[in-house]
Amino acid sequence: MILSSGVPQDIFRAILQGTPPGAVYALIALGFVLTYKTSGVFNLAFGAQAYVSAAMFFKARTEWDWPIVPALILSVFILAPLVGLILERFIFRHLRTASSVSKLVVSIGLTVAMPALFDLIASFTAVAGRTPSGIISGGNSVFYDPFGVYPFSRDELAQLVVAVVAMLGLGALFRFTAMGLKVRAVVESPRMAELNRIDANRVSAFSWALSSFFAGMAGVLIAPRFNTLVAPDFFGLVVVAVAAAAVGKLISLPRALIGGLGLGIFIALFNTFLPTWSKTLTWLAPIQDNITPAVPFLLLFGIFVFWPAIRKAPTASDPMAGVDPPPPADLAFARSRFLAIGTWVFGVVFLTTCFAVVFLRGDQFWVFVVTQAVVMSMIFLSVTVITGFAGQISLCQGAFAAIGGFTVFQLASRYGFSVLGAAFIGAALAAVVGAILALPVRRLGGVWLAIATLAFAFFFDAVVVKFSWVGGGSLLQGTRVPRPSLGPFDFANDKTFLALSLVMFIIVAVIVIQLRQGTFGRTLRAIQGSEVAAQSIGIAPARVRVVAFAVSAFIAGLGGAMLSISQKNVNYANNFSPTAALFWLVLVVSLSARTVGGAAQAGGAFALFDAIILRGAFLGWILGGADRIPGLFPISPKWRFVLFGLTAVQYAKHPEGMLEYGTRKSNAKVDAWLVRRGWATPRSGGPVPPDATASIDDPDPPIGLDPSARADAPIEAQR
Amino acid sequence: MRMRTRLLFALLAVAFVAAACSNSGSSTSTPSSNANPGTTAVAGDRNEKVSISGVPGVTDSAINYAVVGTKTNNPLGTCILDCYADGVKAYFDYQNSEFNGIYGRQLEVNQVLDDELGQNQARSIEVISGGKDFGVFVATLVAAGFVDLNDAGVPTYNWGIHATEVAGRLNIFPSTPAPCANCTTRTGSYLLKQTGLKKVASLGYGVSENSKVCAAGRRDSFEKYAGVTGAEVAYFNDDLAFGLPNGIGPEVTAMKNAGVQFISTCMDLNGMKTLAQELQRQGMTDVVLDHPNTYNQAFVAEAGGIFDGDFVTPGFRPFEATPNESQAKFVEYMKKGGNEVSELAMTGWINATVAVNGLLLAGPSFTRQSVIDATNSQVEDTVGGLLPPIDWTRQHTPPTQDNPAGGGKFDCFAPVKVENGKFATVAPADKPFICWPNTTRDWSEPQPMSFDAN
Repeated sequence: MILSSGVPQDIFRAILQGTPPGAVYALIALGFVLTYKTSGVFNLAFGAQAYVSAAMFFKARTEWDWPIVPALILSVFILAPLVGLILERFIFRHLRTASSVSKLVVSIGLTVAMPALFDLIASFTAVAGRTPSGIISGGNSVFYDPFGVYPFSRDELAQLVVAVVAMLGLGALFRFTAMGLKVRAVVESPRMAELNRIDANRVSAFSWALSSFFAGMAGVLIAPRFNTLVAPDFFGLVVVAVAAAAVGKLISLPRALIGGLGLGIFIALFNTFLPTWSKTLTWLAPIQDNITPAVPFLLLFGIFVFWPAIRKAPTASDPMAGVDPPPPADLAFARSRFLAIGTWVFGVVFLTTCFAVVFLRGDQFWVFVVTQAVVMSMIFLSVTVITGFAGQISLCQGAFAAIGGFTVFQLASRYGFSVLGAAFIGAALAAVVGAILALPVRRLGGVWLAIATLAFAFFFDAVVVKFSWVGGGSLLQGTRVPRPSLGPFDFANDKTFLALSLVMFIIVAVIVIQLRQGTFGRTLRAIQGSEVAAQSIGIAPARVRVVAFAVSAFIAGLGGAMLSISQKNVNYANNFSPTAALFWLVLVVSLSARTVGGAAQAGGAFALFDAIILRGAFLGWILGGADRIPGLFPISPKWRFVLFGLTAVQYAKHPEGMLEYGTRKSNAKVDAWLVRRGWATPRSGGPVPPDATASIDDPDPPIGLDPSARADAPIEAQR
Repeated sequence: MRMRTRLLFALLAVAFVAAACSNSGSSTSTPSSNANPGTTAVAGDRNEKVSISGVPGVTDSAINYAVVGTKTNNPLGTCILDCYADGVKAYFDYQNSEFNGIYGRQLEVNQVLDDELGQNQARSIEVISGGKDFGVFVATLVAAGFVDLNDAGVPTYNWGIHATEVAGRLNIFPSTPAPCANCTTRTGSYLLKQTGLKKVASLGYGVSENSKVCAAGRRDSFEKYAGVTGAEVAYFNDDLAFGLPNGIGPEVTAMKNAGVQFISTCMDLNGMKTLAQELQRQGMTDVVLDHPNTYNQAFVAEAGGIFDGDFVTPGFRPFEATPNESQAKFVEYMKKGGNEVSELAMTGWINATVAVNGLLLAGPSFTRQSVIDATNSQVEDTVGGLLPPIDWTRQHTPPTQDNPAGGGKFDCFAPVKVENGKFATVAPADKPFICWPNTTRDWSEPQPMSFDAN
């Protein structure tokens, strides 16, 4: 019944229809593999690089009316390599020996920062309906139909040709040229390459210029597919193309090409035959209804989780990386008792004052943003657990938080459950989902785990949310959520709800601190330090990861529930989408992923930075009135993405976060000053140096860098 | 181990306490209206000035409003906030220059706030707590702040694309009253009948509940009125991926095989362009599209003729209709302000008209609540002939399939057709609305109408 007449023709047509989008996926997958091969970076920012060139080309062609060739030269041959050289010189040169996870975080930071920075510098804004033109005249209006079945546009043929030529050319470069060999050597180990008189810096610069040039070319070629040029579309394509790149284990160019084309063709076949089959095979109907928009993400998740070979894919790690010092101890253990007490007293007084001002004098707006800060801090504690403690990058915290929010909506709004009770049920449900998700991905680790979680986030976004029993709100009520009441307390009042949020945050924070100081936290630290060593003393890393995921998901779910209650609506697209949650990670790791304080500061930055800094409230307070704020305020909110995105690029060098790093430096100075004054006694080994994590790549290592002093910090912690 | 046990018990205790508590009922409540259904309030003397104190945003010289909308991070790339604010300001300029404002005060846009797509609730609360604005105009893609504006009793006028968020909220006045998303409607079948085409398709996005319901509603409508049109639904798909990242080739092939001649969609304008391009590629250039969101002259002109022959339904009296007084003033004051005429600007103008009409009806000693109540007392508000009559006494709640009368006196739409890249009214230009009586959903021959006299 399925194989009715005309099926071969349908298959052939579907193959042709899947080829143009497949060529797009292949182009990005090739670029992804190229970057990975030449730099060892799992470069999620590839889409951002592609967007920058595409937007530049669009601006030159549409706004400046430049001809194709000059616009192409500017955007692809000049701007794109320049971007690559800048990235290499100022960021990735210093990360050659960093872990792949650290590099991934940096690339996520760039994903957030680069499009916003370009838009600000070039004053670029998307224009609806202005389809970007391609590099060939009449690219999307002239068609060729070589088989008489399905025509291709000139743009699509150009994409296909460039993908094939790039695969051949790059393959030849790596296989037959001395430069290709040098590139591979530097990726393997820059230090060992330098021992063989290879100028690692020059080779690395060439690599980044080449891969960035390819990103630019891919961006310009792909842009005509979008009727409005916006950066998130490029990121979405990158996520899909990662599946194609994974087919080649991130190192094989021909397989990436085949993977990309195969993905496009598979989706076309899926969309061709499933609707027909589901008419006769009714059990297929739910799959067609629900899975169709998420096929790429399911494939991505499936490849990473169920294809054992991917776990054995080579990751770029320098065999000499072990000479780098270990990360510094927690800040709390690295300062004098005097300073520690002083910091605590100052912190308590400062926070008490702030909250007193908000409770006593804050208007509805400030109560709202402070409540958002507190609730987001709770969500960010989930990042603290999974990234700060367990050292894993999870990109699906938004999905866990959404589970909490949707549970509250479903149970409280539809079935009349107690809101707070539903919040805890939602958190428990998120924990269960987190544990189940962790089961298949628990052995992945590193960037593979991060990408698997990203695939889950997009799958949740494309499929799960729309189920009526998850996010399918009433057409008349949406996903509205009521506020709770508890005995005499009616939390419909915003200030009372802020108090409730604060209490819940403190409870969760105390639990997180207890977890860190307990067996669980020590186990996580052991695994983070050395998984092999941890296994040798009887720790099962896979099991611990499952628990860590569950705990992290519980906290995210609880926070998501509180956020929905706070806003009186789940507001999924606003709060919990995959790209929104990507920014959470950037924010937390850029400040401090290892401490409760870091999560709190990230929450504050998330909710308050815009109001206090960008909208000029702080300046207005200094100047004595909102009417005195200069006209340049409010500053574009895109600066928030630029600032925090660029701060995240410091993650590899300072995994403790910039805030903790800065505090550490100032603490060291204060400690030294206290010792000089005789108000504190010098600790054994002397004060902890300000930059205990400086790499030997650092051209200006801090004065007084003393390995014995570095070792002192953990010893102090043990005491 | 003991620590873990203690933590577990502590967590359970907190959970049990939480489970024992109840929910506040306040968030779902809406302020009551003392509107007087069935009557229209009589306007007071608009030049009479009365001293007013304690009303937010009202000074001796001005009545201030805020405009909130999406500008930064707008994924559609369309002009929303700026164009919408231009329309509001143009109407205020018109009122201020020709009538010297109202009640001895000038109408002012006090602040224009960009909600950055994700900050609508924060900006809305900022307006509420600032206390500097009497009302607020909102053109946003994510209406997260409507709950707060409504609860705070702020007169709120908005771009009518948020049926769910405005439903049941009496302080919020959309430019188009909340429709019934899953009800059958005669509009698509009317267009189909005009074309004489017999094979229909209905398309929607799978990621959006509203889009899915809308696509299903259109399919049901075509089936309901099949006896009138003689057409059948040959293809239905409500699972398209948003943004059509993988193209729409297989789906168009399926429609081609099914002989589809007319496609009704619940998609955004960028998706419509992708669909039209694919139809062109596969040689289906004669297929007619029914667009829900493409009333954008610049967008259609940019598309280079691929939309020719298609139908588009604006949310108001089309610009292509014989201009009535409101439209003439709109164009005049937009030009005076140096701004371009656009759909969003007209939406702003309509919202501002509703706001000022409310002030007029409330009288010189007005408050926020009196303006809201006065507006909600109108049973045939045509906003100067720009809209079919709105019955504010009941149109805050969407109609249902069994109660079409909840949708107002008439079931109207004002379609335009794309001809050589430009729009032209389907109905006579002086009577651009095509209307049915709303007493039943049964088919009858519609009448072309105009509502200028109101």
